[in-house]
Amino acid sequence: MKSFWNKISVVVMALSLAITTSSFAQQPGTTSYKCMIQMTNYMGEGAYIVISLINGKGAYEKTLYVLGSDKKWYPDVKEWHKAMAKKTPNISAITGASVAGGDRSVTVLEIDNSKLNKDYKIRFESAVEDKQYHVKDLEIPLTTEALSAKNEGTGYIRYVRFSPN
Amino acid sequence: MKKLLIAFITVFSLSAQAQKNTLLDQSFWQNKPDVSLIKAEVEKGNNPSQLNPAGFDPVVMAINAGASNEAITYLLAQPGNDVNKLTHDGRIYLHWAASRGNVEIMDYLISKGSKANQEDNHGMTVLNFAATGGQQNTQVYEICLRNGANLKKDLNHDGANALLLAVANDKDLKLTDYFVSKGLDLKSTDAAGNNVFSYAARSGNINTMKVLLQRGVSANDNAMLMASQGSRRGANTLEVYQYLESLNLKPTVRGKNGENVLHAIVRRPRQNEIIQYFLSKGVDVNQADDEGNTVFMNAAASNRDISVLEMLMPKVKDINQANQKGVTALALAVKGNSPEAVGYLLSKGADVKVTDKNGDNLAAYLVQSYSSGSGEGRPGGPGAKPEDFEAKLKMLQEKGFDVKAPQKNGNTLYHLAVAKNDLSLLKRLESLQIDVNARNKEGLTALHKAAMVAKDDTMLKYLLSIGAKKDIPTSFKETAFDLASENESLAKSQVSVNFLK
Repeated sequence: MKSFWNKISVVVMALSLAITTSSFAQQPGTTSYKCMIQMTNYMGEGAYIVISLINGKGAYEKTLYVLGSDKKWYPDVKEWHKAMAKKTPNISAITGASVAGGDRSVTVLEIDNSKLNKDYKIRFESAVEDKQYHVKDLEIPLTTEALSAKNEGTGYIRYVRFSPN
Repeated sequence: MKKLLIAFITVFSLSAQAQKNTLLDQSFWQNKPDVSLIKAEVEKGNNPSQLNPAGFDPVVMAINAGASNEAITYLLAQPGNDVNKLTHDGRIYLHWAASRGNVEIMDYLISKGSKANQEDNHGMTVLNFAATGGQQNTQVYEICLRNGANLKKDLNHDGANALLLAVANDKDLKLTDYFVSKGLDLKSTDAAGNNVFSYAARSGNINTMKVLLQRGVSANDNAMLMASQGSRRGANTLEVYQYLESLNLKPTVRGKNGENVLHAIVRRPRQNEIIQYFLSKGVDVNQADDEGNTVFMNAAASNRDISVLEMLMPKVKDINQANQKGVTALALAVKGNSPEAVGYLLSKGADVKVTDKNGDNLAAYLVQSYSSGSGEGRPGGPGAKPEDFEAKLKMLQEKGFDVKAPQKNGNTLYHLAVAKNDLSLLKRLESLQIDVNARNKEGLTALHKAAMVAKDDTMLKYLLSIGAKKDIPTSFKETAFDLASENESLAKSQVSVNFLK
């Protein structure tokens, strides 16, 4: 386990180095991260989770991934849905299945290099039919450090782990 | 042996007792129990705040059954019954009290902090929910309006206001008049442009439609589509459609999402005469809605009457046409229709080797259709039997379907059955000789998945008994034991997971 995380941190360091280089050279690109969401064993239907990039003002900057494909339930992810109503993005390429209690989901997030280690956050917003909605089930700063740690959720998410893709 | 039997019987009867909460029994409430009887049941250990699988709790049942307000307030005082508690379809108690016209309980709930602008899962505020049910007591609406409701701004997810929602159950247009007097426009429309005439068409009340026309509301083609949707109470009659046609509304109209009238009608049972009527009017069974579903695909998905499929089949251009998710009529039938419907599609050349856009093959749809037979289980449609699983599988195999082929994401039937958390389904797979230790693309075996989602140890022990290995690590270097140790359901019911070590 330990050697695994050592390896990860080496990769993350290499990655952050690469990112520094690219931003220094003014070449904004994106880096893909594997994101594993582990759910708690809550009772109820599959959870809809929206992963968003949040800017320094606390506003939705970009939708990174949507777990749950039936549009009918999007209004349940209240704040995101409200924010999107004005600028409906095409999310078909970044939409996956909803996640059931206890299960996990591995998705790949494309993150703009220029946003890393600036004043941005990644928000995990969750909703389950007939159950409480969590606007910030988990919210982490978009920093190299946070992207290499295990981050605990507060609602239906038990934890989230990132790894380089 | 005898001891074992006694122990078994004891456990069985105990668990049977634990499952049965008198306060969640409809018949208990139908008998209008007085508060002392309810108290006695609570003292016997029946939980006054338990939610049933549909999300109803004793308070909601008491309100809906018209129990005395004394009984309702007693239940509301019990721990776990906060005024903001979410129940069926995301409704709070105020929704139910308003719908029942119980103004006294409404006042009580509001005094305890209940919010009238709370929306349910369909975007219905308390006022709109009461209006949808046709609640005639306008005091209900007055209370909501005094407590934050806004008739013009409070719309459901379709963009409909209270006037549109109420008309289906508003025979004398009393509520319509009331909402007009409160400032709503009789010519209001929802986001799709449906007006009050269209909403009346949905419930099929010809008299109401006639009165609305007299009052200057126009009838437009969308009304035909709204009529085809029908209401919760049932489908509309041929007479309703003929009335709409007599107003020169187009039977071939298409809605905002590309659907025609048959998209909805073919989903309901006993519509053969109406389907025939619309076919004769030129409604196209190959027309796809925005999600790519044709009329025929909708019928294959859920209509258990083979004669409907036979009626549509001669007009179908391509039986293997897929919707935008890559799902064909056969996949839909495997998931939600009978073995007979699956057999019919196979006899007409439906392809068994299809995979959807996620790379899931028909095995994934077969697993989704399975219901162990207890309860009303929606998967597989009404009347689905556990044996349908084998019946459908056999038909598919006869046409060359390979049941051992994993999905593109590496999931085998074992992974899929575990995800359904159903031991009886798992046991049905044994004869298929699928590798129980296969890892999916995320590096998980069926045992890993079971360790994560299990609610007790039966599924895990069964997998071990058929050769599942405990020491395979996930790509995060976790063993099944590690995963089971994190499982809150197992911890909560104090199930030891040491047998996974």
